[in-house]
This record gives sequence, C-alpha cells and structure tokens, in this order.
Amino acid sequence: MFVLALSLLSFSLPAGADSNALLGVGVQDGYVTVSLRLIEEPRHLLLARLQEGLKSEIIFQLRLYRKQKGPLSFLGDHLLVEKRVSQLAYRDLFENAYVVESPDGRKSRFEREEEFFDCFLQLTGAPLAEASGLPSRDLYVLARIILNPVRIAPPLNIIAFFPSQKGMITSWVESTLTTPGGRKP
Amino acid sequence: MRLFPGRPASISLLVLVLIFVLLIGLIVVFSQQILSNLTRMDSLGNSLALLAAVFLPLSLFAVIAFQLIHLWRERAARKPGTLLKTRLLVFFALVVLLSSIPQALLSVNFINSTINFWLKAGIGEALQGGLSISLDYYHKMVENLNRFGKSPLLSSLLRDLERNPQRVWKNITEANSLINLFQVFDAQGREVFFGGQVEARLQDVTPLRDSMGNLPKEDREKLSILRNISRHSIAGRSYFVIVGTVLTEGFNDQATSLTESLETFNQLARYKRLFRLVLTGFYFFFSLPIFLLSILISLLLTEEIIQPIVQLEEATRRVAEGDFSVRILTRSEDELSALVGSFNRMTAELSASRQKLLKAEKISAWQEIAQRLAHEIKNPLTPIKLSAQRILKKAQSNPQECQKILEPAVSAIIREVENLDRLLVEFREFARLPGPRPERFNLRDLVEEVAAVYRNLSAKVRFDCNRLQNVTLLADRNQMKQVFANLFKNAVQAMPDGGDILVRSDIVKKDDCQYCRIWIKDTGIGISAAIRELVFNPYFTTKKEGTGLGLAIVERVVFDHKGVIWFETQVGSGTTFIIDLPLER
Repeated sequence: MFVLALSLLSFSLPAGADSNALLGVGVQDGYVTVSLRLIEEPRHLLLARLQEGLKSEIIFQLRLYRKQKGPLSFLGDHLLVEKRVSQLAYRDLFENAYVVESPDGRKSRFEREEEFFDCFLQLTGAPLAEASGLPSRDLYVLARIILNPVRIAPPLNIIAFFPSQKGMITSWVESTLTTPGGRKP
Repeated sequence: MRLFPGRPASISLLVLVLIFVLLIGLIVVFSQQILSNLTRMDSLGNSLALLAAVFLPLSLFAVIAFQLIHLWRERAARKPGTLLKTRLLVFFALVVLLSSIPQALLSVNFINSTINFWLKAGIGEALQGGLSISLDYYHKMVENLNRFGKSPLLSSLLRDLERNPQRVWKNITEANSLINLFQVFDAQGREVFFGGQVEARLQDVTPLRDSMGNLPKEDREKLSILRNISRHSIAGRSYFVIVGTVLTEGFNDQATSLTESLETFNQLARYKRLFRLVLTGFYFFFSLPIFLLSILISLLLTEEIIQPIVQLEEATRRVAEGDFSVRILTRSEDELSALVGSFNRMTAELSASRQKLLKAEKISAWQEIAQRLAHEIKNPLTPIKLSAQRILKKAQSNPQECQKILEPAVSAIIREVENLDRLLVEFREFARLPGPRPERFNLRDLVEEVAAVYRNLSAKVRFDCNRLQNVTLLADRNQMKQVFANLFKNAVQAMPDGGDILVRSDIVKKDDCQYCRIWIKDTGIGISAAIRELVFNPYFTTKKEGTGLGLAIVERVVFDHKGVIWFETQVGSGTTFIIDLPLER
C-alpha cells in the first residue's frame, strides 16, 4: 500500500568539517528514500576527462543503521541495509551530448552542462528500504560519495589498489530518520 | 623439519601442497575478479583478500626464517646430518631460483612488450582516425537532413503530395540521394504515405508534433535512423513530413565499439607507467609466496632424504662405541631402505660374532687367571710343604731337636698362608669390582687429596699438581681415587731414590667428544721394552710384594668410564701414564 509522504525530507550537513556531501533522508511512498549530492563539484576536471573520451563514475554508498542501546551497545550499531548506487557518465561525440547511464542501463542525454551535472552528481529520492519493516525510532543513515573522474575498465582497474587512484571519497555523512509508520520499538 | 611435530612428514607435505593449491586458487580468483570487474576497493572481501595476500607470504617467511635459524643452531652444535642438509637446501633453493629467474624475466619482459604493443602510436591514430571518419559521415548525414528539411526544394516537391505521393518520393530520392526514408502524416496523426525501409517506419507521430527540425538518432537493433520533421500546408491541409536517412547497417555497434576502444586506449595511455608497475608488482607479489613455499617444501624433502642417513650415522657411531643392539626402522622401499636393511644385518652378524669372541676371550682370560692363580698359590705351597716336612722329619728322627725348628717352620707356614689369604682377597675384590657410580667432583681437588697421602709417605718424592685444570668430572669418585692412588704408588716405587711426579691436565677433542686428558709423569726407572705389553695384565708384577692387580684395576676403571689409558716410557728417564676421560656433553 502506498503511503504518501509521511515526513518531509530532512537534510543533514556533513558531520565532519572536511565532508563534501549533503545528505537528505525521508520516507516516501512507504520507502526510506535518500538524497545525496556533492557540495563542491570538480566540474572542470570531469569535463576535461569526458572531452578526452573517458568515462567518469560516481558511487553513492548508503547505509541504514539502528542504534544499539543497553549492555550490547559496545558491539556497535546494527547495520540494517547497505546499498551502492553507481552512475556512469560519458560524452556522446555523435550527438554532442553528455550521457548519464544508470546501473539498469537507462541512459539520459543532456546537451547543457548544468543539467548533466545535476543528474550525474546527485542522487534524488533513491529508495533504501521498506519503511514498514523498520522500527520507528533510533534509526540513522550514513552515506558517502566516491567519485572517479576516470572510470578504469578491467584489467586496468588493478591500479585501483593504489590509494592515489581511488578518486575522490567524501567522509561519511549522518542523518537521523524517523518512520512514523514503523514498528514500535 | 616437521610442521606438526610427532606426525609423519607426509602430513606436513600434504599441508604444504594444500597451501600451494590455495595460493593458485587465490591467483585465479584474483585475476578473474579483475577481468570481471568485481573489484571494489572498499569492500570487506577485498580487504580480507589483501590481508591474506600479505599475511601468507609473511607467515611463510617467518616459518622459513625459524627453520633456517634452527638449522644454523644445529650446525653450530655439530648435529649429525646438518652439513648435508644445508648443502641440499642450498641446492634446492638454487634450482628454484634458477627456474624462477628466467620465468620472472620473461614475464616482466612480456608485460612490457604487450603494453608497448597496445600503445603503439599507430593504433591510437587509427582509432582516432576511424572515429573521425565515422563522426564526419554522421555529421554529414545530419547536416544534409537539416539542410534538405528546411530547403524550398522540399516544399516545391511536396506540391504533388496529394495527387501522387509515390512520384514525390521518387523526386525526393532523385533530388537528394542520401535521403532513403520518406513518411507523411496528416494533422490527425494518420499516416498518408511511407517510402523506404519498412524496419525504419515510424508508427506514431503524435509525440513529435512539437519537435520540428532534426530528431535524435534512433537505434533499432542493427539500424540507426536519422529523421527530420517539418510541417507543410498543402492545398489548405496541414501535414507532418518526415525525411530521413537510415545509416549503414551496424553503424551504431561499430561506433560504440570504436568509442569504447578509444576510451580503453586513452586509459591505458594515461596510466601506462602505473599499470606496468602494478602488474610487475603483482607478479612478484604472487610469485614470492610460491617461491617461499618451494623453499619450505625443499626443507621438508631435505629432511626426508637426510633422516635415514642421520639414523645410519648415529647407528654407526653407536656400533663404534660397542652397542651392537642398535637397529634402524624404515618404512620406505627405496635404495636407502636397502642400505638400512644391510646395516641391520651387518650389526646383527657383528653382534653374534662379538658374543662368540667375548665368550672365547672370557674362557681365555679365565684360563690365564686360573694359570696365574694356580702359579701364585703354588709358590707359597712349596715353603709350606717343606716346612711341614721338616717338622715331621725332625719329630720322627729327633723329637728333642724338633722344638728348635718348630717355631721358624710354623712361622713360615703362617706367613705363606697369610700371603695366600691376601692374594685371594685381592682377587675377589678385582673380580667383584662394581660398576661406576658417577658424581660430579673437581679433578684438581681429588688429585691433591691422593697426592697428599703419598707426599707424606715419601719425603724424597716431589709432587707438582699446579698445571692441573679446574675441571669438573662426572665419574665414580672412589674408583678414580683408586686409579690415582695406584698410579702414584707405582710412580713412588719406581723412584726409590726420590724424584718428581708431575700431574697435569688439558681438554682435548676426539671426533665429536670432548675429553679431559690427564698426564701422570714420573722420573723413575721406566719400563723395559720386554714387559711393556704386559703391564696392564692381571697378576703381572715385577715387585716382590706386588699382586699384579694395580694397573689391571686402573685400566678396568678407566675403561668402565668409557675412557682410555696408555703410557709412554723411556728406561732411565721415567714413565708417563696418560688418561682420557670423556667430559659431559
């Protein structure tokens, strides 16, 4: 059963001073949804790589936790769901357009750079978990973004073992979550 | 070497082979991961794999280092077989190195050559050229459509659309040979005319009614279609006219393949040096554990080869020491096993021969002792018999005179009987000499203690024990005291006019054993060549009062302590007795 927006998206600023991501968490249509975007986008670097005919990759890493209370709290919080959403971007030289390719193969074409960056560098309302099975309190979401200006194809990805080739990784951003329709704790 | 002490070596070998298979599996999985793009740098699995990849060679290295230190210690302790083991190990390591170095060189060279081949300037230029040609072709088609869609020529050609659309289609293809698709819809979206490839037919124009001009390229299986849509009013009625070009079959696949190849090429060109470095690094990263594993297996095999040889050496040593009961167990069926079998048969035969020899020697010794004893007993019997006969003769011929000879004759009989008694007591003691009861004592203290007794008995003899070392011996103290007492007594008796007795000691090494060597030197009359062979024989003596058992006891005590005694002598200058007693290991 679809439940209409039960709560407005709540946005969280980065927990760490050096964090470079903005996280929004909410419940929509019975699902915990997450929105995530980069604050400072390396647009020039990305455009340069795309013009060279290379592909860029962005990975949104999302984790839903339940806080552990009581005597077992020293074991750490309980990870309920983990999800990785990745997008690929490249320039279509025939159409003179930027293409964003989602993991399911869906392609979006953009002629304007602004529209392209809005699509590629942010995740909007991505479903993370069904809200009905979750407790109503003590939940929070951790998220981070891994941006590889050059997506390295196999077998070249062996060089990714070098830290310098890991691309840009933001620190984890946290946002608490309340699910009014969830289970009573 | 045993990975599991107390278990057969085959289990250790099996474990090493399993590790080897695991390593090969890791390499295969790792390469598959790279090829199938499963690597996730932040995934737990990768971190664990990386940890295992670091931990495995490190642990192998630690085991090898431990084994090498162990081997070095064994060598320092001169443990049997260590020299051969070291040589075999070096040999195996060399074999492994000799086989892996060319392979490594070949692999690294192959990596470099392959990368250089991939990045040949010609390939990049060809790819870029191919892409440029495709782009030119594509843009030319797009431009042609755009231009023709807007041209007044199209409008003039469309005048006959309602009367003869087929003729219009023919005129369009004659006017622009690149156009191979023509489709007309009326204002209600109904198709009026279609000309061209059926596969490129547009079913519904409704979504495109607001988009005038060139449409985005549409890909249908192997077809790529470019369209231009324009609105025309003919005889007061509105029409949507689509002209298009169906690109060469497979154009899209080829263009995609070309762009992807160029992308891979650009990636490779960008990360060439790093890729080469990482690839070479990974080669050594995975070959190092295999190399270490080979060394470990070499250690194990060396142990397997060495073990029977060491057992043989140890058994031979024990046989040399007189232990003929030693036997070697073997499970294998190889040549070494045959050698071990021969050794066991040889020791069994030696043992039997020795038993026979000992029996014969024993009989011979007892015969000799019986003869000597009979001789020694017979000697006093003659005076006893003569004294008794004299008493009897006097008693029969002249009883009055008998009283005069009775006392000296009886005294002679008593003296000779006492001599006989003493002889038998000493013989019994020699026969009953107990086995040594070892205890630790200081050699110098013991010698000083015995020398003090003889120093008091003879003022003319000077003892010099200053060159005796402070050595601790593990031996029967009382028996050793008897040894020195007998030797000092002989030395003193050999110097009736006085002289010097010098006692000194040193540590000597024979084979793998350390001995305490003791010299007892006198300045006496020496031992003549005629009797040198006889001095250690029981009941051999040159003295009137001697029993001839002193040096025999000395030799037996030294022998019971697994030692050796011999002497050097020069008539008129003196004699030196030399004793070697084994020290504790």
